[in-house]
Amino acid sequence: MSLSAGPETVKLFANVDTGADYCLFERGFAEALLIEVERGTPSGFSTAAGEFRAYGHELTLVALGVEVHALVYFFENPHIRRNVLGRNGWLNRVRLGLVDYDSVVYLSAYDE
Amino acid sequence: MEQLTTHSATFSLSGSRLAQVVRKPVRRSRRRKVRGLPIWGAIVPMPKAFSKQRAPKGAVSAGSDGAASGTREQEWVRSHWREYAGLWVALDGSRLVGEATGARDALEKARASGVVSPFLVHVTEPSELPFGGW
Repeated sequence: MSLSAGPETVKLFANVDTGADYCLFERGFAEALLIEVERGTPSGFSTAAGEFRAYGHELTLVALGVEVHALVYFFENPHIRRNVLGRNGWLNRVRLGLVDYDSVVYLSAYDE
Repeated sequence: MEQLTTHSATFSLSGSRLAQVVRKPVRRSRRRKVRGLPIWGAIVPMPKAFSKQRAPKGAVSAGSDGAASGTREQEWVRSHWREYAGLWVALDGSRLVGEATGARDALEKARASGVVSPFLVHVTEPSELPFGGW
């Protein structure tokens, strides 16, 4: 997938996470896009293993050929190495089907 | 008119419709044994998946070749993580075009070598433990 902020674009690997409320990315990708992480909208998040803080920024995501403009979050902690496509901003913009048994993903934009 | 009641809903069926339902032959399960799963799986655009003419079996990428989907970059990371663990690397297919301790520096090295939009990967040692979610 790719993340774009203005003229800057980076490509990265991310996992679809139906349990994540938002799309979350490593802090390093914000730095690669010349985004000042702490200037975004702060928010706390909870997980099974604890809590963390992240900052929201409006970016353009292109994942598997589907482009959306959405609020995504970057971890405050540079040591967290997770990149996930969550519900708000991505899963709620697409139609997604998964047949794990066959290793097949069905995907389109929601309004396609 | 006949009333069928379940725990949570009531359905009304005419006599003829009920007969059709009753006579409907039981379909055998469509589930089949998959002999060989595709290595990278497949991504099927949704309209094709549910159109009358189904997407070809065993096909399909989402309009992207290996270069766009990152399969070659993933292979590279699997092969070279030991040498670059902890670093950010910029990859163009199976070619390393930048490495640095920071993502921006790796990206700029890639651009200096003529690759404008490489894959950026923060290389880590793969865990031997199964992933337990968050």
